[in-house]
Amino acid sequence: MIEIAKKYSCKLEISNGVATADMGSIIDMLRLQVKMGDEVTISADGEGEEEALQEIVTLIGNKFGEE
Amino acid sequence: MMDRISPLWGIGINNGIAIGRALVLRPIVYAREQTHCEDVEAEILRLKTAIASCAGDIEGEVDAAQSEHKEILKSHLNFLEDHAFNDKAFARIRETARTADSVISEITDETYQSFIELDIPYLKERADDVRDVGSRIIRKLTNAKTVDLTSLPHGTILFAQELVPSQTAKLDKERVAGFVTERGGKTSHTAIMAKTLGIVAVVGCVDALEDVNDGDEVIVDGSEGQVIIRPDEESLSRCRERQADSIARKEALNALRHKHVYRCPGENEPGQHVQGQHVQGQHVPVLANVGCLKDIELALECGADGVGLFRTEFLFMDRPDLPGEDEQYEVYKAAAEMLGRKPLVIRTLDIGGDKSLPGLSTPEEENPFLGLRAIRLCLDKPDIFKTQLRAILRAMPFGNISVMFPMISALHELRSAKAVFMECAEELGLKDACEGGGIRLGMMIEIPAAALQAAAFALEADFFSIGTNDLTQYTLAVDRGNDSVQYLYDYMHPAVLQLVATTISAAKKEGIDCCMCGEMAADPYAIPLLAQMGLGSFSVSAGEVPPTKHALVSMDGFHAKDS
Repeated sequence: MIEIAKKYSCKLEISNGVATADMGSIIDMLRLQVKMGDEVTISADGEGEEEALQEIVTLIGNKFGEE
Repeated sequence: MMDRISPLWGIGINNGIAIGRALVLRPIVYAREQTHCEDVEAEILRLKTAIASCAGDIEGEVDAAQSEHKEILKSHLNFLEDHAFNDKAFARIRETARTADSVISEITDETYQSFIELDIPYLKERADDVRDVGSRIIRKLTNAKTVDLTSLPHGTILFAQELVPSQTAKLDKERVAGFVTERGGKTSHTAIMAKTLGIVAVVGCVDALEDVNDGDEVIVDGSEGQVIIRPDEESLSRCRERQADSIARKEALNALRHKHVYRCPGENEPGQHVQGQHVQGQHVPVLANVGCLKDIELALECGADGVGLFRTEFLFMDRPDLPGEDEQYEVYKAAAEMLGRKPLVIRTLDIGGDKSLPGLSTPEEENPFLGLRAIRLCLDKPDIFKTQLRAILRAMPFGNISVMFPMISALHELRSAKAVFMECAEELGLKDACEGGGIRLGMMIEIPAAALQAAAFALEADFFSIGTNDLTQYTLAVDRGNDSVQYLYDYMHPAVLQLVATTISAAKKEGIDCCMCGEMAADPYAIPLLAQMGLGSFSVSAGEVPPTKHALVSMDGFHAKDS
């Protein structure tokens, strides 16, 4: 996910309803403690926002390529 | 003080003893007091340069690293280039006009603490990564000299607060005889490295760096978790002896890997009528407990005679949905094929209560260990149960599969479970293949009620497997996970032993197999007792297979033979 966030210049954020993390920061993301099966909201704002969102949704849909 | 000092204690990783010379990696002490900087923008530029230079170093190390390290180092790049972290550092330099090293040191500590406070094992390990990256930047900023780990003298014992990936990646493994670290537990980076490399280590050894100097002679005892700095002649010769013993034992275990254990026919026993058995005696399989396909590979390498417990929970964990029939079928088929003719005992889903599944909403329970778990849950949710049973049935032709039901406490549960199984068999047109012993349907004996009623169960189950972990917990009313009552958790308690004996003799009387798949089955003190009771097979974790065989053949009346 970090890799994707780094590719795009738009602002990407993930929220689990309690807190929001900057998707480009591994430290922020780890602190958010999102677990498998949690409901999250991902928002993108800026250049390439559509593509960035699409790519992240695909990654999540593929279960991070682990299967 | 150069005198001999008393032994230090920590957590031993890997059995064995190493004798060598110390090399101490002392932590860098940062002078946080002298921290004022004149030109903040120049200082920020200095930090940016240092980070970029570290990134270049890491990239170089990634290329040179072995696979297990590549991923760790790549994640370090992410930490290094973390803009939340770096922006905070730049801002703080501007606001406080302090040097980059003191600011990075401070923010590293803050981030480390914030990870530790979350109290999640996974994040604690990531906290070590943060610190590793932080000190890398500081070393770069201060031009600190680092010990060259690429060329060490043979037999080096490394002492450190905690070894970090950036150090171990460069390590010349051939020349390191042992690790001693002040910090870290069984799952720390050092412990994992030591296990992977098979190097003796003692971690969590408090104050280990206090009284050791480079070049000191050191004994590291992984079995005891003991470190002796500057030992006297007596301890040295004692340890050399033990070292020789442990090498001899390793060789003995290795030699047993692909042999089978046989129980010699007893002179006073009523003759076993099966032909040939008088010569060889009865085979006592030493099987493996496995939790995924990779474990089966390892079990076969260790010389397991088959799989006595295939936990299927891994298929259901860490995913938002439930695995379908085809997906499960592929896994069971692959497992059966890996084992060939060797037995594969598949335990049906053992979950619920304390172990919940994301894909399955179960109500919160006051007393999860006594609640809707394992077979109770499966009988309550026949869709889930049937999906698994159908997948197992379809995989049957590919190997030597048996099915085992967990948490059976009453006869009607065993009957219901068997009925659901036969219903699935019928749906798949496999009813004829299953009837008359076409597939063995057994049960776990892990509830005292089942052990007490073993004679009745033996008439209806094809085999037993004693799960001593739960049996002990339920018999003694002791929660295995509760530290404050750990002293009461004891599978050698006479009451537990009595239930084990009852179960084994009921199985013998009906002529059905009786296995044990709990921790007790691998305990060298329990094995002679279990063997005397007449336990038919042992199922232990892969690494315990050779020691279990060894414990068995060390007894009178047992011997090892090539297949």
